[in-house]
Amino acid sequence: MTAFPVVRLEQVSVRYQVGSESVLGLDGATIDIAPGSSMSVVGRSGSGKSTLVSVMSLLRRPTSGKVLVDGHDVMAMSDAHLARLRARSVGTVFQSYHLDDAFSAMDNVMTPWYFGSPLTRRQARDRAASLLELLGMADLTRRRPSEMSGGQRQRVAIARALFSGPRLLLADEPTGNLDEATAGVIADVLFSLPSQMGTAVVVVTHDHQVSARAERRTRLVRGNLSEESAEALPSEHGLGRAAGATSDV
Amino acid sequence: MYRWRWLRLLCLAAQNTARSKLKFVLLATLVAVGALVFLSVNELARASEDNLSEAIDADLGTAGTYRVTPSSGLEADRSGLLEAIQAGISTYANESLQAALTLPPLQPDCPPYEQIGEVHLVVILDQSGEFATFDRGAGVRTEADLCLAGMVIPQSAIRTASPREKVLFGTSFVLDPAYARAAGLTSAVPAGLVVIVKTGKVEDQTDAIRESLIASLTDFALRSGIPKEGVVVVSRADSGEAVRAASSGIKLVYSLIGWGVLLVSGLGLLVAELIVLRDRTWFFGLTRALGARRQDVAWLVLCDIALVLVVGFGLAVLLALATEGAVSQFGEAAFQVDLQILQPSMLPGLLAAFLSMLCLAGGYPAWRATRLDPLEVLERR
Repeated sequence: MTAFPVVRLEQVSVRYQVGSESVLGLDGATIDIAPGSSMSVVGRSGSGKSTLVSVMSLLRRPTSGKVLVDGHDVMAMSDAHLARLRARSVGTVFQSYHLDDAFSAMDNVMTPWYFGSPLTRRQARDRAASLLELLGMADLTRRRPSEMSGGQRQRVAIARALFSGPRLLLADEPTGNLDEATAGVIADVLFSLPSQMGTAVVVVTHDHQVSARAERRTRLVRGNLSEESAEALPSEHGLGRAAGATSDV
Repeated sequence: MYRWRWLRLLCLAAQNTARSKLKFVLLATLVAVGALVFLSVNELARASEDNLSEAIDADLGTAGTYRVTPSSGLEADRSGLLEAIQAGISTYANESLQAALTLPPLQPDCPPYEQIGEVHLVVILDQSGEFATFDRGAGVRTEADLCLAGMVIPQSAIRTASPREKVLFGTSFVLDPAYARAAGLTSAVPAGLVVIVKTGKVEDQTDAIRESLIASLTDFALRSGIPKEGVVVVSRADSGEAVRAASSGIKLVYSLIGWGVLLVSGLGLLVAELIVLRDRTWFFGLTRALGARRQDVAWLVLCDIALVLVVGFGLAVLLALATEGAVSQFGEAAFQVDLQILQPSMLPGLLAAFLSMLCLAGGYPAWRATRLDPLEVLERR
């Protein structure tokens, strides 16, 4: 039996209005994300990275084309069905963490539980605790995000995205606000997920060093998504993070 | 779907409430004051209406009361006549008949009554037309014997009519049946029968009752040689429509005040919730991004308001319990009524008030929350 791609985009285009101007965010993007794989997407600001993330995280319906999640066409789905799929199949790590300062790390990780997890409250707490432990945050479960460093917040955000056991984890600029050492740690965490949990990981980043660690590397240029060969990228040991940033941003 | 989803959302709403405890306490107090005023005003309305109705009924007769006076020329015994009247009004009456024998007006001839002019006496009858037991305590007793046509009726045999009897039978005195025959002999005019019919309906049914009675008394009329149109006179024994309308108006005003206070509280809650919605826009957007459905977000908003309402109404009930004695004393002293703010009969009103406020304060914010675009909300932050 052939496993469905976790997400398949077929000729996906997204057009939206910015004031009176019509902007083409994605232009015929086509890609398959295999289960347990890792992929990176690099591109300049305004190249359509955020639009791609919003489509893959099921927060935006494309103007045309097809989006299949676990073989299901999301274009025909109701809003409620889409929400269920979003809760179950896709975990998203946002660039600015989007953690609630009123809640502890544990409560932040448990947030998806309120909207349709089959776990009991106790099981949910255990799962949140084990995810935080996996990400090296076992001692900080009761701490609030405002009392944490950027790297710690990002790990809480990753734990929350993994809470429902999604088949795909999307990370939008996960290292954008972090120093180099912390960025490395976060990248370690993210790219270990396919082997550790079987979760496919898509990382959207400016950082070529982070991007280079993915099995597949893609580039977005004015809404066009294309596969990059390994040779086309700066070497993993060559250009550093800063060099990657200057070449791409 | 997963069970107890709504309970989870209620827990989340409770957690959200903890973000602003002061706001929660203030809103719950606002609701408590509104609910307490609503309960108090409703109770005042009830007490006033009851007292007014009682007073109006006593002084002006119960609404829908008719006086039936069969012709004195009818050749029939009292019980037969009453039976025929009962048959004639059976479709209209909602209470059993009251009847009395009206004696012809008599002129007292001994002091001090010779000064008062004619005296109208009635003898109360029971359902079958027999003399009813004389209830000496029902009215004020006279202080001296009444001398009627040379015969003395002792003061123990006569009492003043109650206000209701005055209205119904148009008399000032009620006579002990033991003296009825003797009193009847004092005049050549025969005693008459008065029957009181109560329909319980405010609208005028005089003509309909009259028609029906004419039909049932036709045989008596034929036998007595009386034209059937003259066999009976039906007149209203109630009055005071204007006072009754004013009484209803007072209740309406009370009701408007009660609901008005709730409306103001509800609007206050609505404004507060709209501010909360603005503050929590990001949170609702995040929950949508994490898999919440539109109705989940609506539930969160409604739970937020429901928590305020439950605590507010609970507080109102506690306050009402705590001040029960004082309110009762106040009602007695100020209005001579027994005020009881908390009564089982208030429950439907309280539930209606709760749901009205939930809809008023929660409907629009909940709808707006479901319209939020999570993507836009998260990008804006």
